[in-house]
Amino acid sequence: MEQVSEYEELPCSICNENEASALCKRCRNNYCSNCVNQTIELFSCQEGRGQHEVCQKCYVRISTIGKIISRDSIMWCHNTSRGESWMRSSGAWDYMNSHEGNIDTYASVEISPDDEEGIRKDIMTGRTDPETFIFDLHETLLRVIGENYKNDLSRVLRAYCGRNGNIGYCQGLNYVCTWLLLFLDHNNAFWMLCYLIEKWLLPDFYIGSKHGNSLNGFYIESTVIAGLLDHLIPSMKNNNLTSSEFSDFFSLQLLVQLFVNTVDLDSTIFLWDKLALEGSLALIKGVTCLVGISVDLIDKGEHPIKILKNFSDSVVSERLPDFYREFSVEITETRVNRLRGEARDYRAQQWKTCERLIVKRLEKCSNFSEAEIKQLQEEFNRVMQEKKKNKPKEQPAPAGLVKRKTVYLPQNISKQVEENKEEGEVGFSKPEFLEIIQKLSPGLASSAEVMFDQFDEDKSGYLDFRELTICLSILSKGNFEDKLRVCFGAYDADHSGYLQRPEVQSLLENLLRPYANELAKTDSQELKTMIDEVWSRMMRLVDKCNGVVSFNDFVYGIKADALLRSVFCENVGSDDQKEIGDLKRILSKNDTKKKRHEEQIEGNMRCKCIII
Amino acid sequence: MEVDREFKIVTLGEGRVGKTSLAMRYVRGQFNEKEQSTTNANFLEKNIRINETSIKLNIWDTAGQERFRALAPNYYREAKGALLVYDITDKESFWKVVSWVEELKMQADKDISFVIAGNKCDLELDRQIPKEQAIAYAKQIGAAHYSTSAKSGMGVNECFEEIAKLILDKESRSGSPIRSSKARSRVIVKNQEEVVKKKKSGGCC
Repeated sequence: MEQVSEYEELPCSICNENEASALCKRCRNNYCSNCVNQTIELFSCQEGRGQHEVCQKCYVRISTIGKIISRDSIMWCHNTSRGESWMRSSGAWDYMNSHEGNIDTYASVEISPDDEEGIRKDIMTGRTDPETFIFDLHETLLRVIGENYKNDLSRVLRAYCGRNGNIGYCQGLNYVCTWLLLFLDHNNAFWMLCYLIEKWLLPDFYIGSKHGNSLNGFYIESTVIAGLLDHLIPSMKNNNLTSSEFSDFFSLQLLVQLFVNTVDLDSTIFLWDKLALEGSLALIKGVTCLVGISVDLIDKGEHPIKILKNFSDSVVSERLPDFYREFSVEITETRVNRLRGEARDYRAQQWKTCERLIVKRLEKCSNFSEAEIKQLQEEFNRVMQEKKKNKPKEQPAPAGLVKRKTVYLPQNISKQVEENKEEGEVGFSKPEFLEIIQKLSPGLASSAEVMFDQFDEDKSGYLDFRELTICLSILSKGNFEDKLRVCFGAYDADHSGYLQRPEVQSLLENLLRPYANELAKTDSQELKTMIDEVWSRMMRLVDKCNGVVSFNDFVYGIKADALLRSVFCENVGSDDQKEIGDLKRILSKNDTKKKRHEEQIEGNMRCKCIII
Repeated sequence: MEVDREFKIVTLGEGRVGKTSLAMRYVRGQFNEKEQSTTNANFLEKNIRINETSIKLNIWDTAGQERFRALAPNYYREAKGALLVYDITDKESFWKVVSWVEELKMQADKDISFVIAGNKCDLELDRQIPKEQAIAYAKQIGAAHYSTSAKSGMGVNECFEEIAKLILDKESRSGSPIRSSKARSRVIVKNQEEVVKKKKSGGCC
């Protein structure tokens, strides 16, 4: 009764002439009978699956979904030609084939309780069920869904956590994973996920909070986008927010979910085609395009989150390619990489400040106390200032070669970067780090280079204060197991979560190099026996694990064997607790090399005793 | 409807404690067992009336997973009130509330008002956080504590309205033009849709 009387007052939402007499079962708008006269099978209807009357616009949208499903032969957990073409054009295919193991190898690895719980709650309790998606995906999923929907999702996500605990499970990956399983089977979806996290995206894009730098890569991309928006979208000036605030609000969901569940089906496919070809550059272009498409809303001063919500109920696939083509001219790889570098410096500078929140965060992710961090920070900043002073002045490039920059990071950020630069450098380079390790843990010196790569989580080429703090925290205050983890991670060159035979061999070579040098000098039979024994015992461990050593196998194997334990103890250090004063000395230039060398010789003697 | 005041409120708490569900229950009166996980924040609005003042609440509902935490300052910046939510069946989530309070005291608007909500009270049997402990903590930091259930609706209106009242009180004490009694004020809630409907039928609020 009430509904009918409401219609009487309402004009048709399309022609605006006749009185509305019917309700579109998709968009729930009221239409006159001339404008709603089509019936189509709708799976995601509130009233249940069936033939329903819908308006013209929804009719087109629903039939497009049907066409896409049959065009790409989409079937839950099955390989489709589109999914395979993504794998081939991106390089994921080669990545998969050049690595040992498959989804089952990783599915059996124990994952952290946090990840376990996260996946359980996000998948198993229904928080990723079809009805939680925007219309296009909701409708698509209902049409193709398989019986084991939840188990399929959770299997791929758990396997990834097993492979890379540092990334683990990040909310948003549930949607990415659903998307992958629409086009690929379990194993291919798993490898595609590996490839995109490890190769497409910045290395710390999805990173967890364990080391205090959660989602660092996302911030870098978001800052880069902000710079591009200032340059490309004149309307940005009309919004109350600065471009970096706008970008943080607007980009988050798009970037973390890689466009999945934010824009319509056709547009998501378009953007993924681009991603497969261009990698994360396409991510930046895509977000910029979506801002470009929304300029009228920006001019109205709408909040980015509201603008973003609009996409879930509109179709932009017709306008997207033009924008993409247009922006591709301006958004080039060189430009983006330069902006990324600047954004990284900006992030690194923030760790140098003595702000309480920063110190608190470092305290949380290291073994240092607040006071110790402050002391270290003081010393770090002093060394960085000195470094700045000693650095030769940059020679201005010859006039003809100067390329004028046209795109900058947002003004407030670039200004701050310049100011901070005056205060000193942002971090230690590789050679400087090698020097520190030489003093801190000479046994590790031969592995210092691989360690540097491991701690340089954002791959900036230097260790900023956070990265250094974590490194020092583990090396000076970590327990034996922490240190073994560093060692393990450093030699897991392909980040597979396992050490394979060649990786163990290169570990042993570096580990035993000091002993081998000693042997060359003394030609001692005992030392030779010891070296051979360590090799053979480690290789036995590899054999026992069928050629792939997990971290647990590694730790247990070493702890259970007195000789191996003592060699690793001598080299990575046992559970010793270095005083902060020591670290300060290490950061500055005081020489403790000699004492260390003596200690090491003493260590060698102890190893020998154990064999005998 | 004329709006006298506009307040920004932010919901904070660990992932999956029910922040979105509480906000949705309050603003739309709906509960969805399968609320999707929030990566981006949601933004909801509701008009209410406390005594003679009509207030528009802008509720920012944030992502809870630890790794999204560094984004939170974007959301609590300029917020006048914070609803800190924990799940009574999950001990860890209560400690998260404690750490949020620390962070807000350091970083947020110094006048920010807190209300703590122990959510999922429909699962009383699985309770892990003794109510007394939570109340004692709330008292210690000068916040109100509510037992809520987004599922049954228990305590939901009360906790949001308490925030609005606390903000009003603070404003009146600091000499802002808004008059407000310190006594427990009577609250009339008007859902936006309701208001529209009433206007249509010629009624008056």
